[in-house]
Amino acid sequence: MHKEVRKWMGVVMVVALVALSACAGPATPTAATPTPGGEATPVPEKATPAPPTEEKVSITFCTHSYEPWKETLLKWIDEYTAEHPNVEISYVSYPMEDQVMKLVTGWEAGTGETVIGIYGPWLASMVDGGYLDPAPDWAVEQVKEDYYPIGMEGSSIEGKLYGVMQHMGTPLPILSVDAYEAAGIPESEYPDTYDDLLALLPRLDKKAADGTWEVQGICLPTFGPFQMIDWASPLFSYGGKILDDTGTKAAFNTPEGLEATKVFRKLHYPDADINMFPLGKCGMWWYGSWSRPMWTGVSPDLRVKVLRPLAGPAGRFHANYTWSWVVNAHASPAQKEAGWDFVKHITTKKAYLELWNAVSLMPARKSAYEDPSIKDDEFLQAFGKSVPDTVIYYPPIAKWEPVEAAITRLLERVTAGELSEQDFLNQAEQEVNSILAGE
Amino acid sequence: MRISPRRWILGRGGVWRSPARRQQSLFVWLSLIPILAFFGFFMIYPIFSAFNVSLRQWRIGKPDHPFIGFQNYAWAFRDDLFWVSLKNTLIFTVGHMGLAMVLGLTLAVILFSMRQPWRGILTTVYFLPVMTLMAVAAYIFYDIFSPVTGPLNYLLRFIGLGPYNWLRSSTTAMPSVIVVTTWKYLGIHVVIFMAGLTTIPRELLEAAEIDGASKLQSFFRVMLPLLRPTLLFDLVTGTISCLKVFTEAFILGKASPGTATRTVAIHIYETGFISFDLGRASAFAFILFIIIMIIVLVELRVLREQFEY
Amino acid sequence: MTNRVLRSSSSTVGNATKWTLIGLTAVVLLFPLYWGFMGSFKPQKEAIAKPPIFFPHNPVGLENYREVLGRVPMLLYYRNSLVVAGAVTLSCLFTCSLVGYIFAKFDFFAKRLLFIIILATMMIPFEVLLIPIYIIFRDLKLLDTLWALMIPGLVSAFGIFLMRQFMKTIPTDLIEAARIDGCSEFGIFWRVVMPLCKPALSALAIFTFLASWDNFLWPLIVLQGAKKLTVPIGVMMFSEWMIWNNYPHLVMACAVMAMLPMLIVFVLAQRQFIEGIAMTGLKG
Repeated sequence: MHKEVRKWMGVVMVVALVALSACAGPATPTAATPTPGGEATPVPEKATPAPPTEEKVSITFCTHSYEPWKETLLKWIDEYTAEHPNVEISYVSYPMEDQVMKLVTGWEAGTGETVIGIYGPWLASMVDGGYLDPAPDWAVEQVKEDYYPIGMEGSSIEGKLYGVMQHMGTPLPILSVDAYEAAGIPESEYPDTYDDLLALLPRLDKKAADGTWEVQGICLPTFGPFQMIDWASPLFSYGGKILDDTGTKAAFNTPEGLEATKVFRKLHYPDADINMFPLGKCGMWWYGSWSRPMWTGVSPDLRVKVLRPLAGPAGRFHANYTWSWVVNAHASPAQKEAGWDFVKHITTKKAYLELWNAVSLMPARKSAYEDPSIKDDEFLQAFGKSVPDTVIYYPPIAKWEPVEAAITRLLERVTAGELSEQDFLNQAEQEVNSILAGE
Repeated sequence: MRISPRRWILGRGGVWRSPARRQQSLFVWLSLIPILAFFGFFMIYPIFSAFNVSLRQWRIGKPDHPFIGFQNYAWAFRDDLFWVSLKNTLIFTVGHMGLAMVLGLTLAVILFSMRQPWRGILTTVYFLPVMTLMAVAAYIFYDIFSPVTGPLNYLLRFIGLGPYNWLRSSTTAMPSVIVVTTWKYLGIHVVIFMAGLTTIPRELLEAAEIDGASKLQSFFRVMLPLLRPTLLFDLVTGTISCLKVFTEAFILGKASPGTATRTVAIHIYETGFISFDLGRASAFAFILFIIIMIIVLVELRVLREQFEY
Repeated sequence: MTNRVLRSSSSTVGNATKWTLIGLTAVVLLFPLYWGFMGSFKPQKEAIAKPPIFFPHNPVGLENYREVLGRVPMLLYYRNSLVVAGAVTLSCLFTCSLVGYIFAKFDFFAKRLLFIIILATMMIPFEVLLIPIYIIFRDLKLLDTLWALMIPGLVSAFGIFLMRQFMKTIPTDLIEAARIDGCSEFGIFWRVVMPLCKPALSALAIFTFLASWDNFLWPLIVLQGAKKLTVPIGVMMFSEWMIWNNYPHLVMACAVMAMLPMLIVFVLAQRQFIEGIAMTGLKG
């Protein structure tokens, strides 16, 4: 009988030991391929909540996954930790669609990230959840002094600043000069209004005998967050609104909304392939300055021209969005202090210029556009000049995300040609109102 | 001798007469208690806990979770997205199981009639996709399905089909996901059916041949009834995993219009971890559980009767 | 062991249909693997070319792999996946066969009740347990650890069922004989019964390992930092942005790296794998 017990205990111990040794301690960074751009950052491990000395602070730096900018971000971390040896920063990234889930579950579990780059439409609900720390005074000063007005607007809720702008998305019509030349359209005929563009498309579109595209007049994405952005631009330019001024009711089911949705549908080919633009077989896409690396890697010689936002009957109001650097409200005071100090380090003019040079993200500081290194960059300057023609498309309400998700789901069906414009407006109005009413 | 139901459920137990029996009992309970306690904590307790959560308004980030009775269940019946995702899940299940069982059985019968080494080689080929990762294969398929630059439309052109928008259209999005799933799991169905075929006594098939049955007749009259347990096993386990489908619909569905590939599992995930409403998500999960139970019980009953000759 | 009946009276037409069907299926099943493999050697321009290029004109060698390895710590993901799948498999082998053995060969209080409960849990979708288990691990402060991936898998109802079915076929006389020889109860299980169960054990091991290896939803929710990711989640984190934009060549290289080792292991030990899966079908 004792033999039994002993044997049994022995087996339990062995199993426990195997399991323990298999995952004892966190994965060491040395196990990874220690490359400069590697996911396993060369910075030290995130420490446990009780640091050995008072001065030691560990924070995390989190962005959405975007491979091209990783090297720059890691370089910032290295610079900062070299200056502040008591601060440890580890870098984390999540795909944009899963980032909110990761951030919120992490904050709830008490393991959350400290300094985060977030997408503008998420800001209101995160502030509502009490997750974000209000920006310190220096940040307010900095934004007031040297940023476009949307720097304040895009990162504030009810007049209180919660973040420092990381970049402006500012999608603009980027025209492929090569494709237009091939179709015999001279520069004088480049589109200036939505009507111009719609009239030009038949001259550019070319399909092969089998029904596949040879040349596409325009290639806008058929799914994802850009559905909303690409719909909001004509909507505003035709005089429509998404929500009413109180932010409690849908306001897009109007004649202007219908017109704008018709334009949206004509511009979104269900079988559009955004790969056609880098290949020089597409007349135009509406993306931000950050899209530049998407074609320079494929066709370095592709000639493009950035147009002003297209005009509608009500004027030029292209949908814009911002990304901001924010700090977790649940972090310890020392972490928050280090976090905001790190934000300061990554929002200098130099940092914005580095981001521009690495991945063509529009600098948020106005003074950056006057820097000699980019003063002659026509491409970037066109974006900078167009900022006043743009508006932030999302209202600062906590329930915005489900609203945007519902509209996007329906817009995807408009793009696929499965939902008529009026049906879309009716269904979207009903869904949005029910979300806003608190269903 | 009839055994009372109570006796049947609880067993004889408690007969600890000899030292040998005592040792056995000790062994049984010393082994069972820790393992079953662990199992209970991570499998049984969460079921009750999930039910508890589903009766509350439980949002991530809100400190209290007020009891609201069956309101979350009532919401599920009003939530259009839930019904759409349920419909999609059922279409997926019928589509994948139908395709995989018919194709799998046909291929298994053909393979079974072949000589080595062909049988071995082809089984290996059919089984290769099983060893891939669904989350990884989905990205390869995204490229294959690409309407303009993808190879699928290009190849279909040669037989005069297409072009289709595959993932980008509500009519073809779910079939595309079914194709990907069938690509990955066909091998398992084939291997299971072949294992079932080996259990059929060869004399029975030979007897049928002597009686002048054609090949089709012997397949339907002799093989199929004898394969019943195998088919039932394949159908039941396959249905359960189909009704839980997440990965491929989640990754490929991002490119699809609206709710074309939204499954119940995705709806649970998005409700719980994107909208942070754990209460509603738990209610959806419970409804899914009940639906799985009903479907499995129906399958067991129908198949049992179907094959009573 | 071929089936004579099916083969004997086969006509040429039947034969042709047969070969077309199985050949076509084989080609269709292999094509995605071929496409991924070829894609990983293409330069970007050929990867998004129209018409599609089936064999790279200017293969870039291992350039894409180098680039992916520079960005993705693939070896770390492999280690994480192996630790999780390995621990789950080892644990399941031990716990499931022990419980299966007891249910197969012993009589004790509430045996059928317990067994029915265990069988019933097989029907519970993980989605139902997802939220309570998430809350448990949050309260245990184990989110974002490999423990959170391992612990729910340490015992499996299916494994218990499979092992019980197999162990029922072991002659009880053998166990009695060992008992008379004075072998302890655990000794009988460990030294007499387990060696007889090798086929079932290998089936269970393969089944458990594959399921854990391919697990997606739970790690997607639990894992936070970049250092704890398993292969599927790591690949997804990398590929998500890349594939929606125009970098399929890098996604393919990443995919090949994620899948190739398992495919090689499979080709080397295919018989065990196929027989293992066949056995889960037979015993179930």
